[in-house]
Amino acid sequence: MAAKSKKEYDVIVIGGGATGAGTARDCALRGLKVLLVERKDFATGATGRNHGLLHSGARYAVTDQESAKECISENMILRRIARHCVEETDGLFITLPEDDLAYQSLFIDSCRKAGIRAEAIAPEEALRLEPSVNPALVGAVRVPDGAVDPFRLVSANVLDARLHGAEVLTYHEVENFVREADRIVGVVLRNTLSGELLEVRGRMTVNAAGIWGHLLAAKAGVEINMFPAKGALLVFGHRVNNMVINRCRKPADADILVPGDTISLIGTTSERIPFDEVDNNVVTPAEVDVLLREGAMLAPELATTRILRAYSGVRPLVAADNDPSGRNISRGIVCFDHAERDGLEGLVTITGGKLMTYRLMAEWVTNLVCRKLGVTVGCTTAEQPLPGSKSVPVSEGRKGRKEFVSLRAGAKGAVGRHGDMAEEIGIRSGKDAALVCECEQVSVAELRYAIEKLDATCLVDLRRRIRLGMGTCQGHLCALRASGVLSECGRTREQTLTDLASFVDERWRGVRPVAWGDSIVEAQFTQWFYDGVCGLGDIVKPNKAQEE
Amino acid sequence: MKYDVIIAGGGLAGLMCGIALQREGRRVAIISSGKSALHFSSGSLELWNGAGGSLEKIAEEKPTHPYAIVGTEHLERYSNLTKDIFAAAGVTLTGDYGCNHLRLSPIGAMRPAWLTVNGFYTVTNEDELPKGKVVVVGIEGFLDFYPEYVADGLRLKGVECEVAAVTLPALEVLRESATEMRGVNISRALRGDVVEQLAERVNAVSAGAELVLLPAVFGLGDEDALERVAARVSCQVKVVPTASASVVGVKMQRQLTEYFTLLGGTFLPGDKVKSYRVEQGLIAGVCTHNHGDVEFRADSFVLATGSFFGRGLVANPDGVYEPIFGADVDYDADRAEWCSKSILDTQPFQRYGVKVDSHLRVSIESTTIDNLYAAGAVVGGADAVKEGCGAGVVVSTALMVAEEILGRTLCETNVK
Amino acid sequence: MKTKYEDKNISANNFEQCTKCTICTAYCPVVEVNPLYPGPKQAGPDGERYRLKEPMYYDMGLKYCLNCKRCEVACPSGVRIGDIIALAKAKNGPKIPKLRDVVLANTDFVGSVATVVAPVVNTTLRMGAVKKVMDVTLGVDHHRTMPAYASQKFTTWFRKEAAAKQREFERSVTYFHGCYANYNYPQLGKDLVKLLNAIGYGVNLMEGERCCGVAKIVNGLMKDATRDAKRNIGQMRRAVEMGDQIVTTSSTCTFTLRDEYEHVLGLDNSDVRDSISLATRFIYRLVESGQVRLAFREDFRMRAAYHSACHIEKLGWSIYSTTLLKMIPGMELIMLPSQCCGIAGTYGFKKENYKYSQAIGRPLFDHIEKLGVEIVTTECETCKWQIEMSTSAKVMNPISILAEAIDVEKTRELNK
Repeated sequence: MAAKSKKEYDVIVIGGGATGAGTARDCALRGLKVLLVERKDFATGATGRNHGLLHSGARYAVTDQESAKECISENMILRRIARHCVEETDGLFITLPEDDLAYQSLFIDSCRKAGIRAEAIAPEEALRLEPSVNPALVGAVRVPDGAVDPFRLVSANVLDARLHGAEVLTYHEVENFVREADRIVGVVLRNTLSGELLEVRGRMTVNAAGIWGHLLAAKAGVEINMFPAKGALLVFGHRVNNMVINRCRKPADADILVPGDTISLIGTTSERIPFDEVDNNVVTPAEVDVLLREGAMLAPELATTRILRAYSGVRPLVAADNDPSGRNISRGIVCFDHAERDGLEGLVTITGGKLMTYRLMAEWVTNLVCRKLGVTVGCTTAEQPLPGSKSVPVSEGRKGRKEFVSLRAGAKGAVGRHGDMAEEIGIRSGKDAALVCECEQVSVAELRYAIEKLDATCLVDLRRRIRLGMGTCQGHLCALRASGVLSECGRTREQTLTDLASFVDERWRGVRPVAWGDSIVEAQFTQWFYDGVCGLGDIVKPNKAQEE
Repeated sequence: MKYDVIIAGGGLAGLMCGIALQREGRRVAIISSGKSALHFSSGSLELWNGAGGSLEKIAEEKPTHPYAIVGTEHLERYSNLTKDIFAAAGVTLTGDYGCNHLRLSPIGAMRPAWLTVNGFYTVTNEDELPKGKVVVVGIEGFLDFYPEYVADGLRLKGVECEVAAVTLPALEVLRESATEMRGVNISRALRGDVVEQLAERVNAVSAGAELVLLPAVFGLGDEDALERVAARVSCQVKVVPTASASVVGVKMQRQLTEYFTLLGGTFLPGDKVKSYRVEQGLIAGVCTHNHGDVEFRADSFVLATGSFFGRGLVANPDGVYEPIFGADVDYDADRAEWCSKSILDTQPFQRYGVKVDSHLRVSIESTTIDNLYAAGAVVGGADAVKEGCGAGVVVSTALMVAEEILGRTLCETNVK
Repeated sequence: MKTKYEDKNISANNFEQCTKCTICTAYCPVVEVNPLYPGPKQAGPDGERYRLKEPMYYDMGLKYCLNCKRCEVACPSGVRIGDIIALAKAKNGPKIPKLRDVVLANTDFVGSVATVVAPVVNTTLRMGAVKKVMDVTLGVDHHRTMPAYASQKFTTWFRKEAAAKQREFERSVTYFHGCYANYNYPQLGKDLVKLLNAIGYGVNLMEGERCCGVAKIVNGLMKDATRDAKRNIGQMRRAVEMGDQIVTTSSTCTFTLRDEYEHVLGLDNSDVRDSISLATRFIYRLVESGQVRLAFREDFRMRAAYHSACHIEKLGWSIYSTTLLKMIPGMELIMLPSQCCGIAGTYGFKKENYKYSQAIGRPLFDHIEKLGVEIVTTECETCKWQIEMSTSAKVMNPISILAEAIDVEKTRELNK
């Protein structure tokens, strides 16, 4: 055990996904002393492995009114507080000739009942609004869907939590809970990179570990019945559609196409998987084929669009306590007070739910924590904008547009990613302005900002903070450059080269299921350069801890 | 248009084959769709790194490997011919068949190489590494070369190493562009007085050094820029490869193309074979995108279009294809087998390529075409990266095809 | 195993076929001299993804693109980088063109007014004071002299002097003369008529030929360009239906009619495209197939250097002109290295581009002066202005050289 003095916190939040980050922010805003702990990097679980769909709730309207209502309410909140993470695109629910058009009226009625604006529009109008939509459509409904960048959202929540005094530890895994009688009083953390152990004390501990929450609970001796459901998605090379496109039918596989930043995403499949595959799931050729086939039904153009990569995530579905069989799985929010439920003080669990409701989940669990700690400060997260969304973005308004157009590539990219926080990225010289990642327009200065201010420790983290390597070349052009900048920021050669290997490997993991066409060309090129010309494979092996 | 030989592909394979034939008086046209993989050259050609087993036993161990078809007994001749042709094109290569030397990689690894362009830092073995101080000098703001990586690699081998960065007003201008501070542009700026100014700056940061290492960014502005820097700097000066595009690669492509043209060859840049015509089981002519229905006829045709990168091979979810002639390709039918888990592991797709017979002739729907040959990376069976045989396979198959077409062996005294 | 390859789940979006290899940037003449230009990769396929996300990501630096298409010739993946940039300029660039650009772009309108008052215009255009005024008010660089206008248009001459004679020939072609031959240098048109008549072909002109539109395209006047292009396509269609091939003397007009109409203006020219040919290509094909024989004057002597204009490089058609020129017994033809002269049509006339334009052409000018040739030959009229302004050489179209070298009587005899 490290001889370090044991730091004391009001709350230790475990899990750096949207829920954990949101909870850390909420707690910090209410004046609590917070530690946020993540075993890898932020948004490495289900948060960073979904559609990035800003649900209007329409998708749940027919089957689950409660979820639908939560979604539309949070949707409107996020447009206000996280405008730099959100794209207000609106969405279409289309009916194709093989679908039952009668479902449309049920759908519209259900949406309206949940308070979701839903208007039926003519197929021609749908095609005019979104030219990529399947021209065979026979009906369309317009709803307030949108896109949300989960990485940016988490990053902004963490940043705000820190601005309000929270501390953050990434690459720290809970080794064990510190227990005093029937109370959890802290955790023992293991630095996953160095192996070093660290004990911290907290008056309350929040389990926000997503699908891994049941393992964490088990360490505390309580049981949560979870069901891992894998969902696979494909990323396309550019923005094919500018509106979200859904099928107007009962939710099924691969029927949502979401535009997100420079790309479009099709998803998802849904498959129950055993727990031992949670950390090691791969997208199968069969899933890729389903996604391609169904995707082309929404937008035929997908059949002739470059596929950048495939990825999958695991939804943290929870069985209701009265139904341990899991037949009645809820997608709703689950908040457990383990004192009440299991007689264990000091620990609460927040799980279930979805990215859309992260703030609400955080609010619920923070309310619970505050109640237990006797804090009476109310929640303000629905009103207080996140850092980056505090002022009107420069890109809006006539004058702003003119100014924005005249910015250099890297500066534009930064505004797009960081909103009003882009001002913090000082570009002082030509060298600062130089693009490291040309596909996603990331400058040297932005890279430094992410390292210094956004807790990015390695290249894979930088991808999640600033889209490094998320573009067409999937990192081959920028990886070496970025690793050089990291090395200038004080990392050793071995660290940065291991990092480099982990990064190109992590990128490859997503390319591999779709390695044909231009992607196999890119892959060949990547191996030639990094393995052949550089000899990277001879020097280091990828670090599994940094891969997902 | 009638030629003796038409080659599809203007990279290293097409040019070596074309030059060899043109030197023997054959009329050759090269149809080149864009620039080639030469542009990523490390400055070294690799023959065999030994990881794939013994070269001598390759015929038994890997009977479909291009070296098994070429015959290892011919490699020494091809090696000498390669040096000969490069020299005639104005590129001096050092190194010899039968003994690899070591070159430095952009991240400081020592990599085995067979022939290396003059000016690059190489040693016969690690005992030859400098005993005195080495200074690795980078250029400020040049993101494709990190001196620290090279220095750390050398330090691991016990070499005393320092790093420094220099800049010049002529290079500062490049920084105004967010994307164009690249090796190629630096190289173009290094001309006239700028070369001497650079040498002065290098001198100022390398006092007491035995060796100065610079990024390989010389020779597109003034041809002799590196020599002039070396002459002015008080210790030995060598270069280390950078990330792409490689200046030495751009230069090699240009010099080989110019040499081919000087020999009377016809080089058609930016063009692509669109269709072909068969007459009595032989390829009679090809039509190209640029020339429409003007047919290019020849006695022999060479497929030297490269692998995936050169678009000599194309993959879709159903298979791997050779897009010009629909030639038979060797690949795994199950898509899941194409790739392996880590990008740094052996990737099966790197070996894919067209099937060839013992004369390097190609088959279409299992019928061998007697006047259609394959040369270079389009030939299947070799893993350029893991076996370290990229350039070796390219030049040996290219020269063998030239010999097959000529019907005799080439000799190396043919410099004209 | 399937051998035929299908484009299944392979990108049909040309900009997505970019593999980010950066080769294009190594061949861009602008990048070398102007750091404000983002380079073809960033301006083209990289920028396109961002512009699709949000048009505000348009980079003002795109205006520095020359439209030389050398990036396209270099691209190993067949990305039409230049077209992507041209389209982005039209779609996302500043919407209201400058008066200067409108004047420069409307080559035919300005031309037809100018020829009427040619002596006055030419004198005026050469006057220092006027040049200063144009520099300040219009932004046409004062170093430039606007090309002189002829006092009689080619079409006027043709109607008066040549039209009647053309009916005597059994075979005919339609000549797309373009603005330059019509307004600035009718002699080129006359030379072509002489040459074609000598080999037994009569010449027809299109009714109401419009400017090919390239100047309008590069200056963002897409609507006007499209209107002209539609008219031209209709007229060419009529000519082709009559059995005529369409011949041209300008490389840029040829390239525009064949490729830019489809790729940039999105017009369907597929039924006429293959019938549009540079005159040298048309004649070469007749000579090669033995349908036509050429006889040259015995006393003809010339030492000339061939300059491969950017759009000839893109078309890949320099071999036709150079092969024909090499047939002239008294001709010593030297090939200049293929590089941009910097003018790029109206580009070099703009004040903001002048210094870059000259810097791009500098290596070419130096090369020409070093060779000491009196004649440079090229198919491009704007290259002619640039080279004549920047060197001591006189520039001739290959057609004019052929017309001067040909023995009309003997040729007529041979082709009877």
